[in-house]
Amino acid sequence: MIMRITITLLMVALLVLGIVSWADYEFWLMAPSPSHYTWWWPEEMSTLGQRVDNLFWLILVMVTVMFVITMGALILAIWKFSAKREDKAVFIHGSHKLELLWTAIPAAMLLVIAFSQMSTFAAMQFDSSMQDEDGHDLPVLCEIWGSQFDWRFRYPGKDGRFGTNDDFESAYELVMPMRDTEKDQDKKMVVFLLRSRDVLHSFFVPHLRFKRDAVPGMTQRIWMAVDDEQMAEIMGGREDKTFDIICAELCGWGHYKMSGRVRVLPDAEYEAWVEEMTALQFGNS
Amino acid sequence: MATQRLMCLRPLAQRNPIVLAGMLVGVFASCDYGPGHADLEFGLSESTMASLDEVGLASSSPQVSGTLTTLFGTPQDPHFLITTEMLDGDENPNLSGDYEVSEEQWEIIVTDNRSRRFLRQLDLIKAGRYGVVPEPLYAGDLWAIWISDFAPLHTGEPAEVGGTAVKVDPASAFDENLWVPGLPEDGATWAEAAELLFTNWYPSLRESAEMYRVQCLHCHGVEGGGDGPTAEFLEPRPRDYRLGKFKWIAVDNGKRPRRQDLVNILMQGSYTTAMPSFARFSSGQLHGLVDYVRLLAMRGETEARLVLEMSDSDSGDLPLGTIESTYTDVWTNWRDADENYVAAEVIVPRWDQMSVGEQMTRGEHGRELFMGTLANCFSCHGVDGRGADAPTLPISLAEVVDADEHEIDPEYEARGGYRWVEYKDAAGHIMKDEDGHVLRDLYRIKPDDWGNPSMPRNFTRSVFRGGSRPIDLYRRVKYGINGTIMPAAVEEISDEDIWDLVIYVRMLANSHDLARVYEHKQAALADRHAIEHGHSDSDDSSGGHSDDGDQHNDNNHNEASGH
Ligand SMILES: [Cu+2]
Repeated sequence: MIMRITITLLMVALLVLGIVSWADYEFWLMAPSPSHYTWWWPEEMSTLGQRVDNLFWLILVMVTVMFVITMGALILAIWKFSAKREDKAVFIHGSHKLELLWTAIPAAMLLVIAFSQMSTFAAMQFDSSMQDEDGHDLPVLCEIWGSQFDWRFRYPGKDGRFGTNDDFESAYELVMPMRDTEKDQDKKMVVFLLRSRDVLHSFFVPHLRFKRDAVPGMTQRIWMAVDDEQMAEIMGGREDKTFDIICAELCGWGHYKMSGRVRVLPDAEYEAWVEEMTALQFGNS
Repeated sequence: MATQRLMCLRPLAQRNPIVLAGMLVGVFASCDYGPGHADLEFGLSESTMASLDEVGLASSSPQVSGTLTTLFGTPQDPHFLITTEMLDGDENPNLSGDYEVSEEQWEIIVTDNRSRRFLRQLDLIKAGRYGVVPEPLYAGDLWAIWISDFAPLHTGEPAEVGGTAVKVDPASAFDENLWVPGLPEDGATWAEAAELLFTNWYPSLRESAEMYRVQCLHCHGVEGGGDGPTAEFLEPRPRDYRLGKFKWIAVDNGKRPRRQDLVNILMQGSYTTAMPSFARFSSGQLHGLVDYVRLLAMRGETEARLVLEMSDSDSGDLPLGTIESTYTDVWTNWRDADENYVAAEVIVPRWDQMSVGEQMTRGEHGRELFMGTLANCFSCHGVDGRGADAPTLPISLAEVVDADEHEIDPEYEARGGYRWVEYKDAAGHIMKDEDGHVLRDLYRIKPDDWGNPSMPRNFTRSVFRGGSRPIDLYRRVKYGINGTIMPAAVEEISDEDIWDLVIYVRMLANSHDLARVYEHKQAALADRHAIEHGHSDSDDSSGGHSDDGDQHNDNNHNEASGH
């Protein structure tokens, strides 16, 4: 009896929680906030974001359906058989048919996931995606350094070479040029080197649907890209046109402090920013 | 059998959800969510207690702490006592942030308030949704004004109790008895005043203390002693403010830092230490933190000096005059910090526009100075610039101690404070005595003013904790690093020499630059690729990326990159 009541209560609690969080998302019950503060993903604004979101939804729907079916079966079993608990347990050998079924279905699901992500994964991770038509690596905009407990960005300065005296560093703020949809047909992306000073970190920009571990001793080429159209559509009316970077890998006691922000600027403004940072680099404040 | 055994667990399992719920309720109820934790108290430092004990004045410690409370308040309500001298000079350290920040800085503070700090609040105010403006973090005093003075705007209840419950029209004129910062002389509407309240916010010491409690205290401690609960797990240890010494400042060694020096560190963090960049907070918040850190530093300094006065006097009393003069002196040092700033006249050479040849010549001169006895850099940073990481112990870094007599401090040892150095013969073999014991000496690394073993920077790691800009390095050489064995440059070293030294140090840092190694590796791979595929476009260095693991062998590549 108590088991039944507990299960019922748990189910009701889950349902209430679900409804409340949906309502809060729709009507700001708990935290009144401007429309772009959500409990869900922020708007996507990277050139690859839509494909990542599609995969996310595909997997979410698949696992949700499986979750409901398997948990439903479990609850049903507990519910149905808890009344007869005085019965003696019966040992059975098992069912080949069932075993085959619960091996084949997950395998099929994994295959669906594996095949549907392939092209997106390649576009995201493969080095060939960060090359121009002649197979040359695209130039690196800056190095992204994770260290306990902040993000730092080292720019090669105006000469475009690292390890020279005009390199400058920007703590917390990653500034990158925006992709001009009309002009930059061939300029596909902005390339970065992702590195770590000490332990594992994970460079995560929710708006760009980008997440990658920063591994000590490894230098990874990564890329991101933001279209001016997407930028205008989503950030256009806002006072704060930046978006967040967080560390998505527990990296020590100060992990929660490890944040940053991305500022995407049109080419001219980006050049001006480099000038400004160079002036600061050789300034005396 | 098994069934029976399982059956005994039934009662527990059935009670479990209730037990669990009870525990959860207990946990949540016992958590203190309120701000200001009433039990935080300023204590006296260990050294204070020790020196009072030494002169038999341990019972006088309440007098010291009482005096400090009068002068600096409590963690819940920190404030400076205003002396007549301050009044005469038209100065109020409680509001020093207000008049010390420059116009440009104030502009940044306001922009930050508007676009980041109070973005949510201002969005709702602009939308006319006054009733649902959420309480901002670390802005208790501002929020109190919003709740009381601006009540007619959001709850419909006027500030005075017993008035009629009517909401004011946001477009009507703002109550002339009330004040918000930046209010125009010809008045404003309620809606405008509400916006001004948030955009022109500058934190009070109380608000900054609350932020300090959440963001800084766990390392830097209640009194700023660098002894918070997480401090013991950190290397290097968090700064103890109470000495009034801050390492990376733009003024002479031993002087108090400028406001900008502290803001710089908050903005940039101290790279590779546990002090991160706090740039995620608004400019106003950081200036507020600087105000509070200054209060803690002054409190610590005053404490140390009062105890000194006390133990020097015969009666062990603290005359009012002594207290006042000490307090004023400590405050004046800080107030005048900005006046000591002379670096504005320094012109930073633009190496980015300098020819490679000139850079090499100046770097070479820098190297000579580095190895010379005048600047004497090599004696701590080692001949290869690897400082504390150098394979052979730099000569000035440590002192020999008698291994049999000296009592090794295990904590100092654990932090790398001791080194054994073996005797070696001409061929480089370790020497042994007749019994086969290794001949060696025990060295103790010199401590800094905070009692930490000195760890001179390894330049080849390309990390500079106090900032890596040319001006930052110039200041380190020119003024030294406060409280450490890094001295200020002697007068014989000209500014030009210092810049040459800085250029050399940057060369050391750049020569081991991993990004350059990476570039080099890419080029080498491209060459190999070209050779393997039989066509020679060897002047093309950017192509042919390979992903055969990215582990670098530092040394090999550095040799190959031939700096
Ligand atoms: Cu991290």
